[in-house]
Amino acid sequence: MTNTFIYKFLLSILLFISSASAMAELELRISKTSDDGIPIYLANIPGGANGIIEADLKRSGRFTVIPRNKINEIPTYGKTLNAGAYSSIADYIVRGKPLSGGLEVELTSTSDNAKTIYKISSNNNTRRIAHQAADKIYEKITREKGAFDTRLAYVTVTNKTSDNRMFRLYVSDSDGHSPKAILSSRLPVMSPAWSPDANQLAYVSFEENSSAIYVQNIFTGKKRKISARDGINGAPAWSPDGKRLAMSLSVNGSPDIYTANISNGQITRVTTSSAIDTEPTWSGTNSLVFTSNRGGSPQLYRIAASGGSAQRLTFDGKYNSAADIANKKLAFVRGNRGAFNIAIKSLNGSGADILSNGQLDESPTLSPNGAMVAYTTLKNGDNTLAVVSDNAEARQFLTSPVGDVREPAWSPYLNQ
Amino acid sequence: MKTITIKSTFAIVLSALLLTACSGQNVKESTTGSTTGDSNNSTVTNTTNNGGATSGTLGADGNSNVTTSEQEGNDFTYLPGANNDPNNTQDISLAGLSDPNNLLSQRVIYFDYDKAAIRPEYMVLINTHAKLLSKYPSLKMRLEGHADERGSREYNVALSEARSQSVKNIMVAQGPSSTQMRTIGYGEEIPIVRGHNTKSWQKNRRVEIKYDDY
Amino acid sequence: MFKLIAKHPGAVLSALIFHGLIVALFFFSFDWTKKPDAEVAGIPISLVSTDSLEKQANNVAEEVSEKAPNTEILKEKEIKETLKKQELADQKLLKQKKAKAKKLEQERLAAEVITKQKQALIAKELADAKKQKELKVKALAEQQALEKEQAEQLAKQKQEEQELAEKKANEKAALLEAEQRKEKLAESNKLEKQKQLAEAEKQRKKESALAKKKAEKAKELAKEEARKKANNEKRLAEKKAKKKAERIAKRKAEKKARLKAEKLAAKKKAKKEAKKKAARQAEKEKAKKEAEEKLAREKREKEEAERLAKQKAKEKAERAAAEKIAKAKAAKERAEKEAAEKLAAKKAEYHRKWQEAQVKKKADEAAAEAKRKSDAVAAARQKSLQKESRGAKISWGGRVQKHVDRRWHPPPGTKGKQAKVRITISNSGFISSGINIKSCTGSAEFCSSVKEAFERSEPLPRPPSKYNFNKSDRTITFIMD
Repeated sequence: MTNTFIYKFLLSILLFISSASAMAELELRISKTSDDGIPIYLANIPGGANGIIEADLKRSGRFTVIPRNKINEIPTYGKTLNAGAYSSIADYIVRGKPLSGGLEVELTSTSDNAKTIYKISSNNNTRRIAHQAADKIYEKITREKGAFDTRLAYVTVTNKTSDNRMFRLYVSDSDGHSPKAILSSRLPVMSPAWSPDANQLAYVSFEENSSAIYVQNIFTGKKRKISARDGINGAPAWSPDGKRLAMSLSVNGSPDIYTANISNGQITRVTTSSAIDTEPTWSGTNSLVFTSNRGGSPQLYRIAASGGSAQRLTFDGKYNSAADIANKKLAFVRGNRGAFNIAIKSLNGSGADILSNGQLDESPTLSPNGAMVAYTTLKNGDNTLAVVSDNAEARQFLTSPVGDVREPAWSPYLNQ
Repeated sequence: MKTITIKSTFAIVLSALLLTACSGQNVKESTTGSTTGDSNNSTVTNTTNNGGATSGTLGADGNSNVTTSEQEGNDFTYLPGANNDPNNTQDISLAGLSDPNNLLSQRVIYFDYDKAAIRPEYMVLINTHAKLLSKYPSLKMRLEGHADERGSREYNVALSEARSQSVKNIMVAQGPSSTQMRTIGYGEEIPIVRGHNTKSWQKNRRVEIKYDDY
Repeated sequence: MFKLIAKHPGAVLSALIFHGLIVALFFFSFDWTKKPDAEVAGIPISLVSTDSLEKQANNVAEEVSEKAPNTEILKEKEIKETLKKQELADQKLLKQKKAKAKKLEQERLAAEVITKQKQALIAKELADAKKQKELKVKALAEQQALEKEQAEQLAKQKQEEQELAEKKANEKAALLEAEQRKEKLAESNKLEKQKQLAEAEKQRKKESALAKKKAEKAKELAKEEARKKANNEKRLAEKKAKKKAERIAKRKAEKKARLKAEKLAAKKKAKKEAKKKAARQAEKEKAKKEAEEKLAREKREKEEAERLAKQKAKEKAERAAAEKIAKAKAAKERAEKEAAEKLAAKKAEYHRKWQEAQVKKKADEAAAEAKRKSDAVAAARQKSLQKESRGAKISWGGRVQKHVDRRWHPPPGTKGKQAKVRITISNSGFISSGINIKSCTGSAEFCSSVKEAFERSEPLPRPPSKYNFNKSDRTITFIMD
């Protein structure tokens, strides 16, 4: 009986081995560590839109832009393109031309010569035309929505340690270009947060010698005070439906999470711990992720917007805070062994990937498609903005006005 | 006897197996261990002391940092001086506020990393200011809390607010009305010194006592 | 100690199983998944080696990133050093892999040579076997010929006996005058038959030696003739019987005769199975003889009938009784003969079929052999083609791999998670099979990211049109980690 069992066991092993070696089908391995993006060639577009598109695509960490000199001469847009001839160099070829203030862009696949033409209408901000073209190309190839034609809000400080220090709140394109200051103050301005329609910013200002939360229209400059209670009024976060602001208030003692109705200013308490609860961010319309040191060190927790018990989300590292959520991804600050870095995790997953490599990186904000993270990092002693792709393949420092630049907030998709 | 021999062979085979399987891991562990050890020599944080405990206090390391800074930081005194004697019968009056030799001229309290607890050496200073407040009930004071640049900004606002709150709580115990004191947490927004090192960070982790009219 | 062991076979068995398990543990603890990779590495594209390089480089970067802040410069040096070391190590690894790959390739070639030799040997053996078969078949044919001869002789003897019996019956039944004539006729018939038999024998021998097919045809013809004649005879006999008064008696007798004949036939069948050929021969001869006999008999019977008609008036009851007996006997004999003929015919038919089957089998074997030979040639040609197309398949697979790789955005924090996916790609580059996730160790998000990667990868690089990739050629299993 046992003998037959042994024979069967050995036989099954033999069969297993022989079947594995006799397999004629290909077996290939794909590892996450690969760093080559989709090779794409951008022909020169009169007006230079190709440069903006190139920077956008590179920033996403999903493309390898083929150097211009790899193809000697490509037929200008309008002339016949035999794309198949370039299939060994690039997967896609982009050509285009300006078109009555806008842009016409053609995307050709070198594998099947399939062409797609996009017409981008004119815009006062000419760079946005190129960003929109980049979005189209990005979406066509990666099949996820592009987020290049979006905005960033951020705070700058000049004369940081002197009494002349000046805080400014800026709004710029997603690549840091076309910055526009919408607020300046001698006292701290911090924590900008976009409304879902991308027309308004909520922020914290100490302009009246104590903290208060304001909401300001970025186009008209019109602003409104939402909360100026005793103690902390901090960390505003707009609900996805645009009706509520989550925030951290210490009016009842220790800082806790509250939601405020934007139309009437009424607040609802969400957390009731005696520890620090702050930095709320919405995870859908009915739940919040926030930072709390209730367990002894700052960690991320999730709670229903209506309150209840909180569920701890982070367990690795001594310091996890400042969460931002977009497209089911969660970016946050992780402090470990004295360094603070930007980490990203799947909202419902367990592990996390470290995306940044600085010493004191902070304030992560996800692009609306979750493909990129903007954050603050130290560069030459000052804070500056960087954008890293969610796969950590690409990292760009954004151009910004003088001074210390910090607290980026990535806008939702723009409607206009 | 037979079973024993068989058992012993098993034991040998198994132990050999385990040894071979574990040997690789051992090597790995030892190398990572050494690298972390190296890096910790110059670290300020308390990772080595606290091990894996998430709720560990930062007291030990924080204190050692203080002493280091004390020795090095000649340009900046942030501890009460020799005159900080509980039996010192100094003039606790408004005039004392402008006397550089008076304890009341000392108006900064420093904290440990990620802590809002008051170090014992500051109790006298805080109590002295509290006595002044009790003496002059119309006197008003702002307690401006700050944090160093490490960690996230809003968390640091809350932390700095908590620091000023803990100063306020000690003062209230001495008699003054709580309405005489107002707390503000500025977080890491207003550092007193630039620099991204332990020395600068210690100087920036503070609560500043500010009298409204003095 | 041995005695003790012998006393407890269960313990020994368990020990053996345990050892086996340990060996199996060792067996499986080796990185089997790398084996096919090494095979792949044997062909110019070394997918795995780059993978592992990247992985190692990545691991280093991670370890370094976890180090303390103030040692950044030091770290960089360390990183560089460790990277260099690892590069060196990697290069070594690569070399080793290449060497391994070469070895594998050589081994593969050697294996190919061996298999070719084996195939040649097999072909030879097959040829030998074929020859032996042919020889055997010849021997069989010879034996059959001999058997036929013997059978023919036996058949002759039997027929002689039968004829004698018939004659006796006839003699009894017939008048004295008729007896003399009959005897003469019978004798002359006998002589003629013997002569004919001798001739037929000679002919048959020649025929069987020359061509079996001809013999068979001849046999068939003979049989048919025999059957026709037999039928005719029957009919005649029946008519005669009807003409006579005692129809009922006759029928009874015939029935009895048939039953007896059937019993006999069954017995004979059992006995004569071994002598099938002989019976067949005998049947033919019998058929001929009988045909002749019957002709003679018809004449005789006609005369007999005339005479009987005349004698009826004179000889009444006695003669009638005698006639009855005689006719019954005759009918019996005839019935027996008919049964024997039928049996013989059956046997002959069976034999013919067997021979046909034999011939067919031979032809089939020859055809199969020819096919095998041509297949071997085609296989050889195919092999060289396959080699080329395998190369094309692998390079195409590499392109597919890269294509999917670039479009895979696994959710963060899924290090160490693995999915196994099997897809079949159509000639136009689309996934025709559906994305078959065979296993996935990660979260639902990780698994769906794998699925999405393939969805966003369509259309995939098309299989090279030059090669006719079948479905299994176009099926790829991906390990994604």
